Amino acid sequence: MKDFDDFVADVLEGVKALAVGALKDYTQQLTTDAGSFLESTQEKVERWGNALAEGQLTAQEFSFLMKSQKDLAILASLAAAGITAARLKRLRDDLMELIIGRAIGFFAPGG
Amino acid sequence: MAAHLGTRLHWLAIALVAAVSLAACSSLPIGEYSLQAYTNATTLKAETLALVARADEPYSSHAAQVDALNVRIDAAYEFAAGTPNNRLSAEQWRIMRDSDRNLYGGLVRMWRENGRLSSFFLAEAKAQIAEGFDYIICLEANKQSASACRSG
Repeated sequence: MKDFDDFVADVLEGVKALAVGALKDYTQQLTTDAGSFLESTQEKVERWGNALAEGQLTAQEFSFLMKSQKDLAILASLAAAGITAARLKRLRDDLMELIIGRAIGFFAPGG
Repeated sequence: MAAHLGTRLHWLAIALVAAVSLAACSSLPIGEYSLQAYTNATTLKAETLALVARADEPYSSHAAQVDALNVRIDAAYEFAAGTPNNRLSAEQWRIMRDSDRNLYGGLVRMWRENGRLSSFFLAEAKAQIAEGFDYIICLEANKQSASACRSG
């Protein structure tokens, strides 16, 4: 069983390296993106509120813009979800290649 | 020797089955990168912003252009919706074109109903629509490789 134990250890080491590479900085990026969106929302609401008060925007226009920011939040969330899924998909594909490559190296005749 | 070889092949078979199972069992909600989808998004962003910039003029003067652009945006939505595992991108297009929401579809409805739109409002709404397209473009780009989203 020594071969198999070595195989498992080697695969796990490879998985660890893959996961660190795939997710590196991503959590930080998500947090930064969310923070930027909130900051941008605050700036817009202030600008639109002032424009409404000064008569540059009608109530209908102000309402449209506020709701458009809500729609942008949904688009941003959909993008974040898709980007996460794409990263996981690449990780899954890399993992599959890793397992197959290591398995052939360890167990195939002459490997 | 033969027994040892048999054991190695046995474990090789198990590893291969595990790898194939990993690929088959996890259905992630993300479609393949599509150059067509990326081109749709970037081209339509430019076309949409160019048309929206004219919304301070009478809608009736641009109705035909709006209708033509609507067809192209509908086609982009249908393309996204028809791509396997692509519901996130399709939902983005649905929101962008929906006349009951407040991005491109909603702006066109407002333009049609009001006749023309004010310059200040138009500049702000145009920036919002541009940002919306950027989220669509960013998601498509990230299907190919990890890249940062930038708005502008």
